[in-house]
Amino acid sequence: MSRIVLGIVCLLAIGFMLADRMGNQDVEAVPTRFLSGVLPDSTDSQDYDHASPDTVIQFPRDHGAHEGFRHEWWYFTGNLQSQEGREFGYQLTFFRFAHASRSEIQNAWNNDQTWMAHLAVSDIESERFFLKQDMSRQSLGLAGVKIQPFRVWLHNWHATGTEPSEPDRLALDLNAEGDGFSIDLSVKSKTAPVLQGENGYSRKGHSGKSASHYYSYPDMETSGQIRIDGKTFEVFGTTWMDREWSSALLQENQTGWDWFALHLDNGKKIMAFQMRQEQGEAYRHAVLIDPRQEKIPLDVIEMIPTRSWISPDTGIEYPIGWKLGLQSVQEMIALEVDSLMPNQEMDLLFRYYEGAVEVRGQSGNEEISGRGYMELTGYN
Amino acid sequence: MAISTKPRKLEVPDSATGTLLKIFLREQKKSPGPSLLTVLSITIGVAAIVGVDITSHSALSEFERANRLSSGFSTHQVVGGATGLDENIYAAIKLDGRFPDTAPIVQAEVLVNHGDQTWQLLGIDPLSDYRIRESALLGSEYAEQPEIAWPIHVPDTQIWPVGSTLTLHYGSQQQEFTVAGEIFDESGQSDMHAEGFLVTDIMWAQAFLNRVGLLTRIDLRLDSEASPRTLQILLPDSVRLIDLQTRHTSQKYMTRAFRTNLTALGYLTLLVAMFLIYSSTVFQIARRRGLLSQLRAIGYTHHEITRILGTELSIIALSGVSMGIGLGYLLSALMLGLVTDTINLLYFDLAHGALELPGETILKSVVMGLLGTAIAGAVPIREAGQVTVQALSKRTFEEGKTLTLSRRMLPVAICFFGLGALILMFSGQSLAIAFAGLFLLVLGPAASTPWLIYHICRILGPLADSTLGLVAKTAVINIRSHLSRTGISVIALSLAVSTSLGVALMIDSFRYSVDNWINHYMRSDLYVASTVPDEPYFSELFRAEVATVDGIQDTGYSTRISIQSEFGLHDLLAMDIGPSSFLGFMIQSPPGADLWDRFNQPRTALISESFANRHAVSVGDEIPLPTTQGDIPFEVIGIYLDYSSEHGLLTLSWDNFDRYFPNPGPTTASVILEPGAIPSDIEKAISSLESAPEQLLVRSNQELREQILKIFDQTFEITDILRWLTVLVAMTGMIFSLVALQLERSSLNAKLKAVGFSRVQLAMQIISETSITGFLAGLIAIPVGLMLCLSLIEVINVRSFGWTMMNHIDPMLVLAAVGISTLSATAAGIYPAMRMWRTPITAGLRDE
Repeated sequence: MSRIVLGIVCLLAIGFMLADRMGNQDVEAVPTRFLSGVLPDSTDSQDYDHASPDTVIQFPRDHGAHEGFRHEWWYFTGNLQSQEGREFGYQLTFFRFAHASRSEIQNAWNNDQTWMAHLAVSDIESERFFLKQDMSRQSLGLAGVKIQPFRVWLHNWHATGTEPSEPDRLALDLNAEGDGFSIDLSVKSKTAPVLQGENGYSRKGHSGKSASHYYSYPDMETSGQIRIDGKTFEVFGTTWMDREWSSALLQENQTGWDWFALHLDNGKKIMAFQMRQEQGEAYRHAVLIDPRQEKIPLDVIEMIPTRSWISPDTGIEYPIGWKLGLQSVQEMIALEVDSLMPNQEMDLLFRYYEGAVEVRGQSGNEEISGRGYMELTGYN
Repeated sequence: MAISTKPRKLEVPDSATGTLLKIFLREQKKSPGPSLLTVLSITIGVAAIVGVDITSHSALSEFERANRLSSGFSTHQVVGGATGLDENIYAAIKLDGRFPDTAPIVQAEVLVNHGDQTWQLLGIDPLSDYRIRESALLGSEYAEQPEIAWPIHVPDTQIWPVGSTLTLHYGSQQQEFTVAGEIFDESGQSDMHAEGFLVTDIMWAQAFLNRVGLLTRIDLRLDSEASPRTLQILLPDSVRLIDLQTRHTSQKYMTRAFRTNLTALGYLTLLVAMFLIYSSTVFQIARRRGLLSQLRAIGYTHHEITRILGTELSIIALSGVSMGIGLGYLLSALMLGLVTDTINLLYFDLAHGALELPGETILKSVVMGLLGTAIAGAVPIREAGQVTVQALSKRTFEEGKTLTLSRRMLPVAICFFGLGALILMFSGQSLAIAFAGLFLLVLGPAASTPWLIYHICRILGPLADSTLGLVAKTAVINIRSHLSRTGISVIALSLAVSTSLGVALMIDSFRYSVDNWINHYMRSDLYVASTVPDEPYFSELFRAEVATVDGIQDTGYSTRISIQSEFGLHDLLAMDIGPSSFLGFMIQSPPGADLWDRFNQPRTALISESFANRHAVSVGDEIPLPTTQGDIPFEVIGIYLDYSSEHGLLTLSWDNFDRYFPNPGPTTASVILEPGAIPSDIEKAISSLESAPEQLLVRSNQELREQILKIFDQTFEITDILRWLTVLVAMTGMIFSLVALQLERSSLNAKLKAVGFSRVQLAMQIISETSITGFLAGLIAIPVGLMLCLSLIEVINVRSFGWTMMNHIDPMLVLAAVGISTLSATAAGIYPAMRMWRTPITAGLRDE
């Protein structure tokens, strides 16, 4: 009898243990699904201001917010290294979103501006990627942007400027921390910003229906500290800052974009992007910025993925290696752009890929190489 | 060829076990009653455990779920004064950056579409709330949809479809909200347990509740020990940081105390069921003694017989256990409602949760059920297996065993008792250990019952002969000689009756003490409270106007707030009363005439007995309280009896309260009427005063008293169910042992019939034998029950709730216990008497 009882008890015990384990599978907390509605609807933009080729960008005014536009960002990406040569990449971005409709309620929480910020650090040597997201309404001073002295912030994450020597220069302290990592950097623009597109009016499609106001500081001298798991790294390198505001980034048939910001060792910089379409040819744009900050337009001959990586977290396949063929009046530039480490997916409210890359190739007869950042959006 | 000298064992074919099984199955088919009753007893025993387990598990997880929904995964809360918390405090915490998991909450109780049920309206900021409530309360419909003004999320869109309109009422405010979606739980499923919650954006909540600029609280998840201290520096003096762990712990402690009490009763039922299983196994063996001896005679070994009996018992046990799980589940449906209602009445609002059948409960009940059966059945089965063919074929065991058994049980009983007393004395704060001690303490005397009955019968025998005649004498003698068979059932009966008596006496003492306390404490004729949400305060003007109402002799005012001191979260009662009302306090210590004067001196406090017991505070001690002027020590000048808060209660004079705490005014008034004044007239007069709050609740002394006692009685309903279950199992056990006994005695009965005993006499003899046994067991249960009651009052209740009570022994309860014991045993005797009645003499004599 005892054997029978023991057998049954054991069977039951194993059964329950299995059932328990199955029931306890870690359900990933995905705020994305719950919060996506917080951000403005992208289909109807008639209540917002729109980018116009007639707008003249002025500083320091345009460092501040353009609340009539649906979205806007202050985007910092940088390639850094420690004294020992350990490489890092970082991203700190402040996004602002406007809601067209709000009720008449009079209280602090009824605010039509919402802020989101993303922080990421890529530790290339260990191939570890750290990321964090924060959000808030522009209520009670929890988030916002000020022009003089410049400061953009969300809770305690901020980019704070000192009084600039000239209105179009920026010297900023960047501070943000996530779980077990943080950045504390000083970035300084050596030159005036580059107005992308036509004097800062950047077209995003063939039809001209989508466009943004867009300027960049492609070459900001950077120094400071990166902390990971309690360990501090003194770092230095280059930051690329993008400022962009718009109410219509994607046209109806566009699915996403691939964007590159590259620092070449010869002091030149390249910004290139393509807006992919469901059908038809992608809209492509590229520009070369020479060491004197002069823009040299480039024709994009080819932009072809060479290598892809499937995210183990989301299952999304990203093209993380690219071949770029660019043509200026003087020369042909052929580049191989490759992620410094595959895992740089921003699995947050917006899911995209933002990662440090290395560049190799030829500019005319000259062998060139460099570092940079790549952004891939709209992959599912 | 060598010839084996070994005696050849009788070969039984390979399919011997199969054949045996067939024989047993046929036997079962012919007479399934006893096996079904055994199954039933195991079923009831297991059902009691499963029922209690599911109930407490479901109630506890409902409690945790409610907590998780309301406070998420927050570890702390920042709360403000009566008017609320400045929302800029939230901004300051958030901007500091060290406390990222912080979320603002605006919350209030509202009514929907003029319904009776109150709902918790939770105003959240979804952009920060997901850090606290990972279960994100809102669906994707949260979107700023222009067509949805005043969006609200509801627990069930089946009832309130998306797009429909709800009118929410809050005090005099009302507002239409549009259902925007369903509240989800962490798995993304609609959360039925979010019952009771409505969720909207903080901006709509602030606007509707008219709390612009104010929060109800801030929820925080602090991850390191340093954080609370760091945070405290950021906070202004007027707000407090509450450690939710402490609060939840104290709430959990309450539910745990409740749970331990019920679990103890559940296990008691199983224990009684084990006695019953023993009796029924003995009975099964006794019934088939002939069959077993035949099997032994044709060559089945005792090993084979033991195995087949074991298998049979295993099947019975498994059937009982599985049915017990089912019955327990049904039972828990009934009990969960009772437990939830009780928790709601006593502690905090809890929705009626869904029943859960946790794997561990099933496992536990299967193990307990099978193990219990194995332990209870092992002895009789072993006995049956080991007895020789000759002995088996005899109809009776040697009755000489009786005394041996009783004697053998005596030292065990004494050991149990002593050990139980020791455990109870040294169990510290552990309720579970205290209950284990209590078990042994009761089991000890119960185990000695057969020995006691044996000796009582020895004395009673001659007495019965001279007073009641031959039938009674035979009955008494029989009881003595048959204790080997009835002893175990007698123990079970005694255990069930004494426990039932002990618990009943405790509840009665408790009720008596509460009633006495109410009589003493509630001296006023009318009790008036403002029910205006958030502003339930009486103005100075109202107080002045009340004083002018004709027919009022005296009015006292009070308010009760929750404070977080170093003793955790507890209530503070401030009283603006005269010396006559002060006499309502049942001061335990110290006696003294000058207490009233001292009560009105600065920095003095009275504490309730539960506060004193829980925190080991005594008269003369100083307790620091968080006042508006920082932490200030208050001297404890007296300890009083109070059953209104088991967290402990502190009472201050109105002057002390006014000086040291934010005081927006009293919230309750107690009115003493002049002789002859009509309460309903005064009630009307007060309600119609110009300065009277919009919503006023007036209760007469009688109403309030009845309500309190109703709550009290409801609390113990579930205890009653379990108590009766135990008695029921014990009674079934008695039936078994008596039937088994009558079977063994069928030849003796036949002989008695043959020598001239009439069937009536024999039936009378059986009935009187069982009723005398029941009566004696009931008598023995009296002191045991009293001892149990005393232990429950003096040890368990003081530990569970921190309060003492008067010992109140209601003789009717004692009589009832003896009555129940006698009646159950008498009822148990009816079936064997009927069997005996039907059995012809020849059948009984055939085997002689």
